[in-house]
Amino acid sequence: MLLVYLIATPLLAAIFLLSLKPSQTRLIERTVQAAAVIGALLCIDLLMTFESGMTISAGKYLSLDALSALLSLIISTVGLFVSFYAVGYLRHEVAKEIIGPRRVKQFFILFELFLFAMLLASSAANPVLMWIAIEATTLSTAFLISFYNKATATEAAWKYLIINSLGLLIGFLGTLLFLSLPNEFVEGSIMTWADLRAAAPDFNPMVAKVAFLFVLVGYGTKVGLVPMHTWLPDAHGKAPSPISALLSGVLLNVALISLLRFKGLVDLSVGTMEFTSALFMYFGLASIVLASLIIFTQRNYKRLLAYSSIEHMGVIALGIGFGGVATLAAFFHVLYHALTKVFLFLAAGNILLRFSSTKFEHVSGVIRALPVTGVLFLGGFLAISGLPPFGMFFSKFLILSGGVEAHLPVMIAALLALSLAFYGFFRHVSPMLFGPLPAGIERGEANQLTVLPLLALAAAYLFLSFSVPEPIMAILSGAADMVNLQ
Amino acid sequence: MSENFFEIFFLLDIIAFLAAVFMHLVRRSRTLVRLYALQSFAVAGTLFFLGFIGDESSLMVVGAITLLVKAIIAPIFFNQVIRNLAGVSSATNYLNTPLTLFVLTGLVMFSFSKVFLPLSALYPQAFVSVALNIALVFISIFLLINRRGVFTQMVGMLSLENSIVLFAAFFGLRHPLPLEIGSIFDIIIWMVIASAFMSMIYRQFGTLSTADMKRLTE
Repeated sequence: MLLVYLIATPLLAAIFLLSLKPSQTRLIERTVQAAAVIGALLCIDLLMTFESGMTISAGKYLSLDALSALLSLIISTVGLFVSFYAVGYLRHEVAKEIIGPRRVKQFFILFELFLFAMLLASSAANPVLMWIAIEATTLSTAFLISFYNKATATEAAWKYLIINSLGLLIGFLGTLLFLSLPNEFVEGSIMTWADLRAAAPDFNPMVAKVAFLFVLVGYGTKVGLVPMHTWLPDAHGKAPSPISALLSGVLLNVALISLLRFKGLVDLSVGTMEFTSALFMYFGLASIVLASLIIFTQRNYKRLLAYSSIEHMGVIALGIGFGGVATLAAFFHVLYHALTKVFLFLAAGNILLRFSSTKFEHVSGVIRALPVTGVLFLGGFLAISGLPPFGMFFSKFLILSGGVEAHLPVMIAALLALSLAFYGFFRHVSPMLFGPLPAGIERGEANQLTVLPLLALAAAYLFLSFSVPEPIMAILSGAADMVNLQ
Repeated sequence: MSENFFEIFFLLDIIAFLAAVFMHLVRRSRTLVRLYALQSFAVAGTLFFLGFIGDESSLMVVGAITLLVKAIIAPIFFNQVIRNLAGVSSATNYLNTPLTLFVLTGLVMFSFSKVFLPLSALYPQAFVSVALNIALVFISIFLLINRRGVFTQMVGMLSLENSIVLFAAFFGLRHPLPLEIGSIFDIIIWMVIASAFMSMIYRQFGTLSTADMKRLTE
């Protein structure tokens, strides 16, 4: 039942928020924070005793295996920090009269629905329910992306809605093809992932391959893999920073892990991982190369972070493609990237609040204007670049090592592109942080709530860089076992 | 499935297919809505009829809901939106009509090519229908790409959804009623949200042509 409570918490919070008046701002904020704390506690309780290979079921429609446990952990943890941050962020925007109390209420209702949809997608026992939930993430976030009612934000949101919905419909076609493959399909019965995995060795391998291509294009769009990524920089760049953080740090992973579930089915059907590994490897490499080139020429720091997400999804896809120990490293990378990217987007939010611009040419001297945010942003940049001693250094190192023997040219191309991305990031971030402070920019952080969640996230990331608790290790190794063909 | 029933389903499939083809050729938004209603009617008819001959009450319910939502309520709703955005006509194509027809022919030929031959394993006795459904999917996607209008993109998306429902129905894929209703609910919410965006775009850009939505590149 804990799983049901975990998923229902944000939904109940959204329903409760709906009943409140916009003027009850403090109660709205307390509700959001309470829901986040309850969600995190439920998740800890649920996963404390998790063991590799374990599955927790709740009725016919919900189940929690290693893949969904990883997602639930990320959603609940990140959701906790972002919820607290969002309260502080919106308070500042209300104080600056950018938005009113009515918009705050709308924001948090959609925010909770977004969290609910992601939790449901990650724990759905059936591919169709998972598809419904992922489509619901698109629907709940479309208005969040266009939150500021500006023409650019509306354009970004429309692009997001159309491209993602198109992708998801193509993914749905692939899903239906997979569901048509089992020989013993009982009409009207619920076909779970476990049923499909059990039946997969008897699937027609050619049909499974065609179905996977549809699914890869479909869910790959939501992951932001090149060339289906075009919506991502616009949506992540235009959304309010707490939403950009969730989109980049969490939603991409939800879509990626959905894709990996289908990968497992094709591999079992074909009897080898060669077909899917090659696809993951080349889509991953294309994503790393293109994102690195664009990072180099980027003029907007939120879009730069968005392209960095494409790059890191590429790194994870590459790890999955290389297989073996690189797959385990890819799951570590999923966890580290989620924490770091959320952290960076939240820091970017603080910079935006102070400088009122997302363009590098208007932002300089961040360390002087926002000492805590500035130092944290610098730390985040070093972490996301994969420098030691941060966790991402180890995950990137292991992923690239995984390609040394069998895929050396791909590994070298990826390494060169990652170096270019590091240099591109550095050349933008250095003047932004250490340049002269423009006249008229006040010094000091917006409020405590926009800083404390960042400090907590940084502490969590540092801790996980050096020590991985046993339940988390069990989740990560269990996830890798589910993806690697046994 | 007996030969007679199969012919009826094939006829409904062809109606849905032709509706998608004509969506590329018409210019007026109201005509586009009528074609979508016709296509939805064919989809609802397929679902209802499949439920009827298979004695599956849940499928008949899904067919009835589809008829109500997609063939009746959605067109009324879309006509209301068009009336509110007075003077908005369906936008033009990126490609001219002969080129559009040429691409459509190519898409149909591609759907009937060897690439999709593996899918005939799903329904060996009727590869033509499999290929027709695939062609319907591609033609709907092409509608989304080729037209400059926000409204046409919306109808293209719904046409694609119709084609996938037809595909699933044809291959005998059935899901429990809650999941069927869940996916229809998703589509209803999608329609409402997309319509709200259409109004926002019209208010902010003064047009519904995607060719004029270039602020992100400025």
